[in-house]
Amino acid sequence: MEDDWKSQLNIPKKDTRPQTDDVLNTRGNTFEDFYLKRELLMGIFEAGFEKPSPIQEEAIPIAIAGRDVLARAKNGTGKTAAFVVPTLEKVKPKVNKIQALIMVPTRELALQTSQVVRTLGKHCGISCMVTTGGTNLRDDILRLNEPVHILVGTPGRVLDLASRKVADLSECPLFVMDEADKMLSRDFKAIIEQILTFLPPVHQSLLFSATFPLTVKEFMVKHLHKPYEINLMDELTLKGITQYYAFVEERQKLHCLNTLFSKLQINQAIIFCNSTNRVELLAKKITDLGYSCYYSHARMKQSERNKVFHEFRQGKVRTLVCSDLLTRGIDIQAVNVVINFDFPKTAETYLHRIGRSGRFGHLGLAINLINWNDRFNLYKIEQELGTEIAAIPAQIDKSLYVAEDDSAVPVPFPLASLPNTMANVAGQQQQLPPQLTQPQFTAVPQQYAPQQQQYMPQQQYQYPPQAFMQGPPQSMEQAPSMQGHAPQQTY
Amino acid sequence: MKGTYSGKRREGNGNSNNGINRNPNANTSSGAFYETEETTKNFNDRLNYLLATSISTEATVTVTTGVKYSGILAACNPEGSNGVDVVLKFPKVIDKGFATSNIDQLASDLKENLVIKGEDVAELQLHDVNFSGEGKVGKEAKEESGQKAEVKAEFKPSSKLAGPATERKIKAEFKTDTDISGANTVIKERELEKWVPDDHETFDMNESLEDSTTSWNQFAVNEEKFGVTSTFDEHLYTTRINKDDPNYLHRLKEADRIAKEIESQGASGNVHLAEERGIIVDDSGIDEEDKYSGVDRRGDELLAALKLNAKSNPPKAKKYVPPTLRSQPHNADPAIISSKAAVISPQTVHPKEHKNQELAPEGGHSHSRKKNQLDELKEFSEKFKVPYEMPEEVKAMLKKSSENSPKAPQAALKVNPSLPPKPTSTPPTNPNSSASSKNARATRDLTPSANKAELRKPPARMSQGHTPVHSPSSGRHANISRRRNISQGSFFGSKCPLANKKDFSKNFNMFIKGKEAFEQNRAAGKSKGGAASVFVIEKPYFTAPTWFSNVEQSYRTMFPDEHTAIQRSQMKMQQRSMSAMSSPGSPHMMGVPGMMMGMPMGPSGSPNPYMMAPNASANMYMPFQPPAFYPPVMQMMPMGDERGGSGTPPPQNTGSPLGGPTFMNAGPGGPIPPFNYSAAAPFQPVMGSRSFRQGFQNQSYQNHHNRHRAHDR
Repeated sequence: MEDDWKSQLNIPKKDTRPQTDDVLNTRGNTFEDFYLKRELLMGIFEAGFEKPSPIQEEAIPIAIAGRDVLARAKNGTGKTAAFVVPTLEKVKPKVNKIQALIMVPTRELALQTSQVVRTLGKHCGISCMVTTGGTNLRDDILRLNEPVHILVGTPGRVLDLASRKVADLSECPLFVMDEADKMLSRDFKAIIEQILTFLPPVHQSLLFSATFPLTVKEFMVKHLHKPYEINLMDELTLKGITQYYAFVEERQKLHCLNTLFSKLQINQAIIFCNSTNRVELLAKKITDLGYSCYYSHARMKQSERNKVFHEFRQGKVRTLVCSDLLTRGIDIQAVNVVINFDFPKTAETYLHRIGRSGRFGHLGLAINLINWNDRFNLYKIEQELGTEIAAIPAQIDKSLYVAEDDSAVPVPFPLASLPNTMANVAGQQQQLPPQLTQPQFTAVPQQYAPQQQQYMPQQQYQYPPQAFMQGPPQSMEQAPSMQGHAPQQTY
Repeated sequence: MKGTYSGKRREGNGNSNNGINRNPNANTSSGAFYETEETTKNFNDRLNYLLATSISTEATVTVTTGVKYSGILAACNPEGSNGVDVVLKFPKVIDKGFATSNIDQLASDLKENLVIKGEDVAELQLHDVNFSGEGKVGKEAKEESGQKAEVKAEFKPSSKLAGPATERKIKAEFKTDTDISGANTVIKERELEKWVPDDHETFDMNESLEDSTTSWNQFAVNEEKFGVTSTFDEHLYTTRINKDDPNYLHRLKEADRIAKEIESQGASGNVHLAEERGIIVDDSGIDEEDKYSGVDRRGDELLAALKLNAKSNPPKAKKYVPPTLRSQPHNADPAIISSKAAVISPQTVHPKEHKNQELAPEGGHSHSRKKNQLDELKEFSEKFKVPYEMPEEVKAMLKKSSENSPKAPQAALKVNPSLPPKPTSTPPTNPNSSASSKNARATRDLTPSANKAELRKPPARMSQGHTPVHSPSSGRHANISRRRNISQGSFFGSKCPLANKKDFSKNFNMFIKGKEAFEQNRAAGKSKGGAASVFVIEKPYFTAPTWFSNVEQSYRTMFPDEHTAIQRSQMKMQQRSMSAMSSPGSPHMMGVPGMMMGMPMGPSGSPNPYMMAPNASANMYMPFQPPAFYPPVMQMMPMGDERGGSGTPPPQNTGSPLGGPTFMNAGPGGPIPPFNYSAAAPFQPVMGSRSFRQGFQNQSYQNHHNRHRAHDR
């Protein structure tokens, strides 16, 4: 009886691509072992999650127990869900206050994080708002008149809203930072510390990142209370990513890229350049070569950036040329090739860039075009990462980066689940290329509106009443998997 | 010491391997040495802390009969009259020692608690002492559970206790990337394999990216070519605005007001704040990697703020410059950056400036342009603060020097190495300083290079004028490019005569004279500029930046008004003379107590702090050496004596004018040893001697000159 709700879920098609130990090396817990509320579990399963990844397994129970957490895990191993799940678990939908603040360094990452919150929490009746620069500030202020439970944003805008008391953080017990090393890098740190003054003195902090080139001890001592440190890395690079360099002259780079395009079996690719000017120029060349290509960098209008980001995540274009704006955190599962058209300066940038492929333990390829001047940087970064990057072979084994079946690669917003936006209402769905219409999460139109009043009836429609109404979600002792596993953490 | 503990406690180290092993012998000897009351108290505190944290852990007590009891330490009394009284819970006998009865017998006497008086305690061993003051958690506990730390503590404090405790290794600290990679510090170079295109392949776009520049609309092109359309809707990501709210209009107004308020405020120098508030700041010095991805590895807060103001390469480089080759703000000298940071509102001036510069043709003597530049410079100079403290003497000297050769400091700013130097004509105001001012002017560049002149970054006196600009940390690129940006007009006051052709040629001869002397140097130096730039290029590795980052002080404190400066300098002069007399023959700079910061010679009013030897030959060419800008050098100049130096980096000592006889001998005035060269000729001060002072000053130039030559060779 209690298990009925599970049979009602719209679980997406299983992603059958092979995965590495980076995400499989777990203790065998399930999400049900965390005693999460049922609405949250429903969201998790409907997002296609099956089992927690190692970082999720470690961080979720600790975070739910209320401890401060400082965690590092490799790129694309599920860090976002590792803080979103406890956040959603802790937020009370009936309390009309901002109860969690999630800070990220870039606007695109804010959008993405918010989307994960909404996907996982779609049954929780929680409203999650994004606030970043580049958007209409007035609109954001107006949005805050409505109930907002989780605020995702970039530090500058959040500080502005908090300092004007537009965003009331005084009862926000949960403070989350993704890409914590960047957030605690000097330029952001000053803003973060100001924001912290608007939070209640006793609050829980969750800090996540894949890289910590410098120690964040100072911040830990000052702002964290007995942080529980999680380090799941005994090496820096992902197991699933194969790295190569191609030593070229500067003017050969385009030629080399063209060769790569013709030889590689690219599902989606991200190409990084070191200047905004080069980003635009390269993207132009790529379209000239006959490949669909978007570009993005910080000097563009935010509306265009959002559009590019959204469409690329939806898989509308094959290649994205970008600056380091999209180096951190961006999660596009279909990307299997990352090309560093220009080589980065720092090891963490390199690590984050190549981490755009090989998401969630899948396979990927990272190719670095190195010119004469870059070579010392290559040595330096190799040294810092403790790896040696090999020269690109004439033929690259497809099994290193191409999945046999990528039909089930998750896409953030399956078309069928798009909300009733103007675009959908106008019936524009039909105009989209058919290969993109793979429903991933659910086939039922999803209402993203924050209002709970609209939300409840819809849920009842979606899930038969007896499944939905059954008892409080906390009474989950009967879940079968519970019996086998003693709860591994008793916090 | 408590602080140490508490600090570590916060780090959450469950540490346990503290070996506090003290030899019982040390105990008996403790009476032998004298300890201050405070030391004793500190040790007592430590012992108390140790005992307090050990309560409830296992302890082994050896009593004077040699019987060892182990049990849980329930209580202890360090204040006991005869040592530490100990209470063990659940005691066991583990060694019967010299006791006559056997263990079982002893054990049968034991009850739940065993009280051992202080006088009976011979040794107390504490096991598993945890100083962290908190429970071990997670993995740390696992790691450490295997290690059993043994702490043998003594009853009376002795000096040994503190040492090992503070030396404890900090374990389980959060790992940085390199900790994880376990990278060795040696960067491994290796041969890279060249990429070769396939033979049969033809590729007609063999060009680098920047060869074509057309802006394009990515959405239009992709839609046209590939049929890509957009479905973006912000409500996928964020909440909806409730426009049906009855108060909507009111809220809208209110929101508008707040939004305007927020957006109208400045960004206080933070790029991210500025970005979020939609303020366009000039961030061309930092790329998007710096902004969104890379973690700034520098440790200093001041630099961070300054970095934003550092802008070294032109925003749109025509050719791609790899990041490694760009003059990175990271590498910029703090002095350069700080002087830029002092410019308050450069943006407001830019557009105007640019327009003016565009209007003015190359080489045009546009008065209005110069006026603009001048105004800006003036504004800058008023706002500029030297970011460190300057010794009194230097201030005095600065003042004095500007009196003597008023244009010299500005001249120093004006060096433009990219263009051939041309002199101006300003009649020397002072016969003594004529050489210096002329030469100084000689390095000035009057050619208005309108294209290059960028007033965005008005040069700073200090940074341009003195050598520490070229500290080892600053790349040459940075310096040069920055110098190029210095506006030609920057250094001319409105009253300063504009150079006309006549004056040019007249003075140009003067310069040529000097030029001859420097030809060699110039050939050696990379820069195309005059003496100063040669000097500059050669200089970088001689001086390290030594300033204190004190940006609070006004320039006024550094450049006192004329009157006080003279007064001060006279006082110093007297002081110096007297001290010198009191210890004739000693190495002056070292021994003179009345001198501050090693600048004993300053007060003579020479523009050059280095003057060393009284020497009357004034008529030789002096390469321009900007006066008024040696403070850092002076501070680190360890009196020309490396051994006596205060640990400052040695390189600049090689360039120290006090250094050795080389340059002395080169002086035309004959081998007159510097007065501080004690072995050769003790300096005999002549109080109040004007002639001495003058000669002195001249000699100083000469020394300088010689010094440059010595270096350039």
